[in-house]
Amino acid sequence: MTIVRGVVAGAVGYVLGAALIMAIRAASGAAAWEVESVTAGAWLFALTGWLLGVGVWRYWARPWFGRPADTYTTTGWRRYFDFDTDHKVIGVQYLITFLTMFFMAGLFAMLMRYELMGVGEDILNSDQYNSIMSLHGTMMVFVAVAATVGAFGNYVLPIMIGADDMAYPKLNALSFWLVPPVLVALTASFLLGGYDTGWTGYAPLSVKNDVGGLFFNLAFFSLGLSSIVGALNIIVTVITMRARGMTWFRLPIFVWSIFVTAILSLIFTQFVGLAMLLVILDRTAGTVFFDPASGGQPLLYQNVFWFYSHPAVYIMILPAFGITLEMVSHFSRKPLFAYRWAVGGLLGIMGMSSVVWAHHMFTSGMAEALRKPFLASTELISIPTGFIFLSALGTLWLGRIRYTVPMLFALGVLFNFLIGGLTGVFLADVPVDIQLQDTYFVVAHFHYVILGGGIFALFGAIYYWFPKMTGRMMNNRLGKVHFWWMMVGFNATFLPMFILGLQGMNRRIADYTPGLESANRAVSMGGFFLGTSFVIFLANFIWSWVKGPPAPDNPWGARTLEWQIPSPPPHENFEIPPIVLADPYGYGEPGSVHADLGGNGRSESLEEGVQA
Amino acid sequence: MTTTETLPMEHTTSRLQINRIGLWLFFFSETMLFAGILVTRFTLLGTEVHEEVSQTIGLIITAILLASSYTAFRAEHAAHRGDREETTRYLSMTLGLGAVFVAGVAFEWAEAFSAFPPGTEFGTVFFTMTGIHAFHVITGLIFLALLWNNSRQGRYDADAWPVEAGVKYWHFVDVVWVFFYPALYLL
Amino acid sequence: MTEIAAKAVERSPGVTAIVSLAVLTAVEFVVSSADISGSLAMLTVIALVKAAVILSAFMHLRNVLREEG
Ligand SMILES: [Cu+2]
Repeated sequence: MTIVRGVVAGAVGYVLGAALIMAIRAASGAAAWEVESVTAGAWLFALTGWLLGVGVWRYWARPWFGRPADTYTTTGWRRYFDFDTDHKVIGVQYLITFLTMFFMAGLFAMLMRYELMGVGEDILNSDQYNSIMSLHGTMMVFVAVAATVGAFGNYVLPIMIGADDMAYPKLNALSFWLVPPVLVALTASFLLGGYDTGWTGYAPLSVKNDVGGLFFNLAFFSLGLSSIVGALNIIVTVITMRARGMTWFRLPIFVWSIFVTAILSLIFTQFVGLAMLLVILDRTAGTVFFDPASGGQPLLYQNVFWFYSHPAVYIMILPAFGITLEMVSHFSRKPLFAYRWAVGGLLGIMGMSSVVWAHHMFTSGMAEALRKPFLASTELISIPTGFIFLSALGTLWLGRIRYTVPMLFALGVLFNFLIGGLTGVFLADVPVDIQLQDTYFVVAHFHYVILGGGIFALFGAIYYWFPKMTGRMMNNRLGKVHFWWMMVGFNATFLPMFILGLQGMNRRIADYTPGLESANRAVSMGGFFLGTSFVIFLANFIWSWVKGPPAPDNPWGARTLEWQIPSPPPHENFEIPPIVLADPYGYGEPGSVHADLGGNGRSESLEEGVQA
Repeated sequence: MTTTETLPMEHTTSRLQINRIGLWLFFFSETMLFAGILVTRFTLLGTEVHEEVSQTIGLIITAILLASSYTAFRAEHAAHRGDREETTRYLSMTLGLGAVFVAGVAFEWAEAFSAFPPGTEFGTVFFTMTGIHAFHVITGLIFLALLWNNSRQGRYDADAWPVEAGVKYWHFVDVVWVFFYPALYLL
Repeated sequence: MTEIAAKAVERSPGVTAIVSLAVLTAVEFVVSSADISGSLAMLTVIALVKAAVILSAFMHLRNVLREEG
């Protein structure tokens, strides 16, 4: 019902907006209807209408007009399709939405690998290949940016800091309900013939291509709005909603990683919004930002775009670091090694992430004098990254490691990210980059970072928190099969890609020279193997959600707050506000308690905690 | 429960403080957008401004927007004092001045369209910057209109936070213009 | 304190602010029309000062973490 209202209100918004734009166009003497100008202008109205219809009006905005807000009465599974303000519902909404997007983008990858199995244009022509490739990249980037933060930043973070919800629950719901328009725009773009720029949308091509390109811009812009709103909410939540005793250095490292990610998102997402906006204006309003013939500068686009999109790499990977460190400590049964250095590493990455963007532009014709500084800054950023890596290794050292499924994924992240990170050092080196720019070496590198790091951590997090979220256990054996299948498939796909890249295989092409055929076929085989591993995951995920054995409150024996409450947690999370007494990683310290959750004997346990 | 006093105390933030922090973070984020636009402007145009840009209109609308910040300031203080009548009066003055500002921009756009259309280097920057700013002014006017209507009916007698938020947003839009005005008209 | 006196106290920082903003804007205008060298630097400084005036006097930046208006 909610969604129907949203769609209707969104359609009404589109029509009103379109009428307004057409009136303005007619008044200025232009033809009233022109699909791109009208749609770009009406999009804002459609978005507003959708949000109002989907619940903003009923539950939020009515008091602004002197009417009482509707009481929220939805219960049961319907809550997941409504404007629900419970952070746990929103977390699940994010998780399912972005998992769906992940699997769709994965199917596009399968299609691409099928095309690349042999020389020549087999099932896709170049244009179709470029469309599929662009959608695959865009959707995967959206997943990497938003899935972990949206799902677990929402579901787990408030519980971990001892809060009953986010700081702004309604704003939280709004940030999720901005995601469906992103899907609509991507679908529209696909149905209208796609776009051929890749997810980077470089001008001037992105200004000139077909109407699908406009919808890509609108999709990215809308996702940006959602990210900014969500990031703001997370930052304020961590600053103001921590339980008593939850000092900054008692925060679980996952909370730190999401907090730093949110700061990056709040600052830098504005720039991708700007990049998209300027392209939209060039397409529809006759401006010439990126048209060199009229004094514009195509390179300006790359600067604005990468000023967001390099920090966005950290928006994708820092939550993965947080998850990995979290798993490594809980499953090594040891305190997190060098906790403060790891936090410093997160903050160091945050501080440096704004001064490395031009390493994407070494061959774009940027000023040569800038190459060395960007080479240096890029290689320097591996130092704070190293802090995090060493913190993980130090924690594993002499630990009593429990090889659970989430722990396997965390170890997988460490292995894959090491390869992804080290090849990044090569690519930051200007002479090497000039050779390898736009080859499969780059493709392999960022897949090792984002898929091997970010997405592996996402799946680890799903296995880890699934019992808390659903109240049911996932099948352990199937989980292990999935991990090894995915790990082998992943490396079988992307390790050979480094070699393909060194041999000169270009990115973003449907066809290649015959000499590269056998290597490409091997990569494709690896890719299909990787793709099928998710069938096991899906079967396990769905079956366990419906019929899995009931989960205890704390199946992993972990110390953080979310495991001290029932699975799944009650609506307000804690019966009474918890009081935090010590850091969350005190494994092996006799008598150490992370927090007191009230109930019988609170004062005694508090006294103990204070003395300890 | 006496021992809790010895614990580090957190989570003592009131709703008002939470709201204020959020609002300022929003301004911080928006500042990045406007900073990006300014950098774009200097990248494309250097330190030139078009000689045909109207100095008279520029100065007049700048003065009007600054004046509206003063009336908005008075409205906020009246609201915190619980003075419904004065809040409403100053909000309506702010609304009026804001509307005149938008009219001034519209008037100038009509002139600028022939002098430096969007298809030229300066026109591209000029229309984009004034347009994005005017968009923020118009959303600000919508907020102010809602505030005016609600304050008139006494809905903020108990809690002046909505007035404070709307007025702060209005000031923020003014701060943006403080940088846009010299970047577009003076230099 | 009478209500009128209270209003005067509350008004005065606002009046100071708006007067200084007006003066600074006039200076900006003169600087740019006088076409002197270094006007870019001067305009930047003036804009920063104006922004600081609005942020402190009108927007009460100092009160972010406080309870009072
Ligand atoms: Cu980068």
